[in-house]
Amino acid sequence: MPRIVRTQYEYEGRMREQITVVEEDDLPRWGREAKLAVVGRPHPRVDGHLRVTGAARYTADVYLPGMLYCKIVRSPHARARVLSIDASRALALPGVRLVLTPDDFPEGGPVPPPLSRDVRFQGEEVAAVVAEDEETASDAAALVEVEYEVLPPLLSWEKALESSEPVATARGNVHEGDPQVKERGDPERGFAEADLVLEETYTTQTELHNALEPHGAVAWWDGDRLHVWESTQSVSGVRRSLAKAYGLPEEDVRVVCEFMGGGFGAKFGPYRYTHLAVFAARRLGRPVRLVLDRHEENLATGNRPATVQTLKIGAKRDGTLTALELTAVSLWGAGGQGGTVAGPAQVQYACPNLRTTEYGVYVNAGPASAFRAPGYPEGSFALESALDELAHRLGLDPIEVRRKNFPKERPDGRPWSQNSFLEAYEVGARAFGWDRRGPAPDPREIARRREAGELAVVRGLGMAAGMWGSAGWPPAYAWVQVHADGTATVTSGTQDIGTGTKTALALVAAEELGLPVAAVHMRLGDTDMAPFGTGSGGSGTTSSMAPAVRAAAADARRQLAELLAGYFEVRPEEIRIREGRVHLAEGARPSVAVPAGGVALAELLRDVGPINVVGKGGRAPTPGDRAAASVAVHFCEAAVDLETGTVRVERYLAVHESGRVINPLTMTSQIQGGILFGLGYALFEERRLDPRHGWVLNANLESYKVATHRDVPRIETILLDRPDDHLNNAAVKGIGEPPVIPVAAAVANAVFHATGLRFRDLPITPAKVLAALREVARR
Amino acid sequence: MAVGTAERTARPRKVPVTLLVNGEAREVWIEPRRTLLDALRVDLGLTGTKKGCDHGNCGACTVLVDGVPVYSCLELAIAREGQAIETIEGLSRGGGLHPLQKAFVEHDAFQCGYCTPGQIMAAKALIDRNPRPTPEEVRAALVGHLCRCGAYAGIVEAVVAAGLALSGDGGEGRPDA
Amino acid sequence: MMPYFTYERALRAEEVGPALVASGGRTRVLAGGTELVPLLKDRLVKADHLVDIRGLVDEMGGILVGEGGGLRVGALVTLAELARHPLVRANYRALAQAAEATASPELRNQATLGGNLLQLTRCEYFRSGAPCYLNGGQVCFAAEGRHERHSIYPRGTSVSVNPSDPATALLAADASLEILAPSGATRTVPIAEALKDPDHDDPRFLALGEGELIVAVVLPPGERASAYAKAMERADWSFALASVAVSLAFDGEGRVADARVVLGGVAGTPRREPAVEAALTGRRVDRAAVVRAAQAACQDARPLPGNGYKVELVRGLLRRALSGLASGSEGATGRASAV
Repeated sequence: MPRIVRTQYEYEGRMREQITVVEEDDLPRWGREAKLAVVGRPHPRVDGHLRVTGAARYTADVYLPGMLYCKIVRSPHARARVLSIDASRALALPGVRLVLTPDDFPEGGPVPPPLSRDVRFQGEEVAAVVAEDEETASDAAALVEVEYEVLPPLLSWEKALESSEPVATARGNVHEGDPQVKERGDPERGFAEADLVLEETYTTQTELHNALEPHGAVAWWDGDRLHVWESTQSVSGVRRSLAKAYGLPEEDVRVVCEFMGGGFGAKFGPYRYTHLAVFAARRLGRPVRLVLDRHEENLATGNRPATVQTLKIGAKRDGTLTALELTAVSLWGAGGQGGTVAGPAQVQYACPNLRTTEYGVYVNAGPASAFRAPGYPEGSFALESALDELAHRLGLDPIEVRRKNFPKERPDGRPWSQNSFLEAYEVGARAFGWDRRGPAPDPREIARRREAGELAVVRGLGMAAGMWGSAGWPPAYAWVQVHADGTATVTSGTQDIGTGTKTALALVAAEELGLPVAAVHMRLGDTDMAPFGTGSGGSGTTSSMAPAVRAAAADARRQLAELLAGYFEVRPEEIRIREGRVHLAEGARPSVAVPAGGVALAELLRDVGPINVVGKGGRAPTPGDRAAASVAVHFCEAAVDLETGTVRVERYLAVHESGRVINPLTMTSQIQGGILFGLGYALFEERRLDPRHGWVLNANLESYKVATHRDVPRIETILLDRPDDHLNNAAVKGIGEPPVIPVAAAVANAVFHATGLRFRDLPITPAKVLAALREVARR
Repeated sequence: MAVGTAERTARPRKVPVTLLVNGEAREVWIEPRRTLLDALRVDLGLTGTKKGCDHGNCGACTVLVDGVPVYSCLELAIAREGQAIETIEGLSRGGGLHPLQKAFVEHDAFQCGYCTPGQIMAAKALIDRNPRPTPEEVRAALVGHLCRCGAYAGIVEAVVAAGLALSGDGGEGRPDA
Repeated sequence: MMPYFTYERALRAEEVGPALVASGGRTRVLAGGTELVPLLKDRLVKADHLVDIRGLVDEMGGILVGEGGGLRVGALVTLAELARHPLVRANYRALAQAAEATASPELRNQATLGGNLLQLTRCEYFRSGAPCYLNGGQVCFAAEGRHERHSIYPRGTSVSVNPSDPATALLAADASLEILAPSGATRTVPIAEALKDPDHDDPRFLALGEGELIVAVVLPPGERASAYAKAMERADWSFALASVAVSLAFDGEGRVADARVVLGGVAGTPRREPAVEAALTGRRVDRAAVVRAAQAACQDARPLPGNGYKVELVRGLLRRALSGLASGSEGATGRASAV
């Protein structure tokens, strides 16, 4: 029976609480002993044929009859006040239908104003034009004359902390005015007890998402009913927000995202462009399309914020941590929201004494957003580099230090549902050949031999670990309809953003229904006629949705068994369905004989005629008494080219435990993709800002460097398939984000091992490597 | 807000251009500034060719012109009049998937799939002239195709496998990784 | 989106120059499009009319053996054609390597050699439309701002570097440009004389008069060993952080009879390094000579605060390129086929 509960769950390093309707199920959990036929075997994507033929329709591919094109006019200044907007020349252009300015969106209205008079970052939306075609919209946007009073931008975090004048947001320059402080034990005493105290500052850069499909929306009002195609990680979330903003019942808003060209945290929405499209579509009575270009994408759609982290670690001679203190400043841009940089320091190791102080600082730059494990890759770079330094200084093996500080429970006191770090260290070290790792060289010797022409490339091994707490959450609902042709359709208002959600859920449904995967149709990415589905974030799509789909499929299976029981005149419990064929339990005495191989369900139902089997299922709350831990232990072999300063990762091993493996094929892809994200972050991805004007200098894919085919090392992944059945009925945890987390530190640690040089500033570019070599050569 | 009052006039600025796409001659009326990419997507409805950056920096818009892979976002449609243009939609005509498409599915050579048509078209040009490329040759030929999801390893495997399938080699003599 | 323009296909090269002059700068030449199209989209250059010259292959295409054994490479030859041409690979290895190291395969299929030499600076300030000298303004923002990729030999009003890989290799090869004037006259200019820093009046890296077209690039004959080495942050498909092109002629005893050493990505023009050339001349290319030659590079550089690493980088690239040409090695024959 559905009931209303107050539930707590971990989302991207923060605990969330909400009141929600959940449905319990009495299904036996898919624990370690469960024998599954479909789940756990590699399966190609069920929608693969659509993606390889060009038939898959992404939001950017939506062109409707009579559609108009909207183009945003953005501020070229990082901080300015709009004095006037003259749209007369734009309006005079044939084909221009509308010019929107901030006057169209009064403050305090139901819709957050999508156009600004107070510009707080370069690229902020100031006006918008709507025209018959994209070229005309673009010509018209160039003709909108905006007069600005240009103001000096606030760009440095030091000044932001000092200044009392609210510059980067109307409510101040520091998030909530104060840092977030978390403390346990007595850090001062911990440092006093330490044999070694290490204190270093680590800095990380701003990273841009650059999903290949840009953000965009197409809006169309069918009378009072709103249709929005949006490139989003949450169709149900966008529907809910739009319904609220426009005062509509949710049923009168349809949000569609059939295929999605990558999100990585920056695509939830609705965003300002969505509201502009919706507003213009209503005003003009025609569909309006607003798809951003790459430049806009890299100015205004979010980022992983830069950080400055000072980490102080105290340890005993044997590596036991006595105290950790982290002060982290994260540059959230103008009113953005970054992640929990202190997350790894708070939970990954059993350190009794801890203080973390986190500042979210606002500056006049593009707002930060969620980005694949928000805060964690940043925090992990500092923590996992520092542990490597600590191990080196103490003459200990880096893995030994990590083992020594393995947390038997989550430091907030809750036991883990399970935590596979120790197993992962062991499996990974063995597979990687960690024991052949010798000591790091003296960097002065490296520099000398380089200049003597004796040494051109050096190699080193490094490792790092990361963890992520995600086991899904309610609400998440699904319907499973079984058709008379023996196939089934799974429907939910969730979406597949490229992670393989459709395929994973098809396997779950097939398993529970006893149908072949090919007989399961997936209907996701459309809120019409679909129950609420979760957003694809926090590595929680599968762990939220799989239990719901499983429950819905089980419900459908029960209904089907009841139907078939009537046909055979047996009890429903005696009906078995395997691979689409109906069998009867041993000892059953049917009125109609069943051959040894069973009867095909399709064949059987063909005679029965139309059926009405619709199972529904919802997700139970995640129990709050245990903490979830997806773990990642990564090993890296890097080659440092001493002549050019370039770092190339040649070999990589990733060991992951995320509970039960649903589809090892797509899970491996997720891990490989996450590692590549991390490699780019470690080595070359960086949004560059002009330090005086706050302009983004590389808002493109030419000089914002994303890894190419040739930057890919040999990657081996080891999936520890360890069903974690305390958390949900499918025994699964999250995998989308964990593989990104430890990469940068693993690379930096390998570079140290190759050169004896420690890089505490990401990315590790040729310029930095060569400067460091020159520096040691002079010593 | 202000509403445009200038009436949309007849636009003599558009000119007829005949594009030879996937073996079919198709006439479009376009301004000379229309890129080949926009002509394919907007005028011909062939949205399988993707726009990722519109500046020749991502590879998602790759099509073949006279068998040679090019970024269609950098080409004027009018300048390619009369030349043979192949897009992803032309690859699987007649029902079945092209061996490359099959291999991409089998090797999980994509996640979101947005870069996939471009990767496949470049791969087709490669295996048309070199049916048995080594993995390094595949990487060199496809380096101009960003995959933000990071499906590169699967892509290389898929192209090698498709080449072998096309050249009728069941796997013997498969180049080493 | 590009602004509106009209379009025509040129029928003869001689007609193009006069049309450009008559338009007062509002007509632009379209060849490969890989440079012009993005500049138009970003509204960094303006054009009312495009003249497409890609069809002029009789006059401006093809790679032909010239008098005395050199090569005449048409300006419309694509970088892909250049990189795979057997005679270029055999006799001008550094040029083949430079062409192959440029951009991506698709861009090399589209981009022409002439267009590559005429591309504008990759300076991020210029490319993002900042009102700098090269965009008609009065400031160079890079000098005071971010300039990691800029010149370590700043000169005049811009600190841009020539981004062309082939230009660096062409200077090492002592190539010349065949230029067609609007009058119909053709002149041949050593590339060393044609290369220039971009400036307020003309943001290009080549000194061409109004309406002048590059018709071909002429490579002189001569048996030389050469190599091109390039550094990038990621493994491929990037402009050079720095590069070097080395071209050596050996005497009968394996000593360097003549050296041409050119640095790319460090100055407004590819830059010959006489000190390195002198350190090599008359010597066998062994480790000691390589080390000494590399150390001789960039002694007179004046890096900006953020790009001193380029000095180290150039020296490392020189060691790499020269080691590949070491006396007795395969590279020293100038005939190595692998690029």
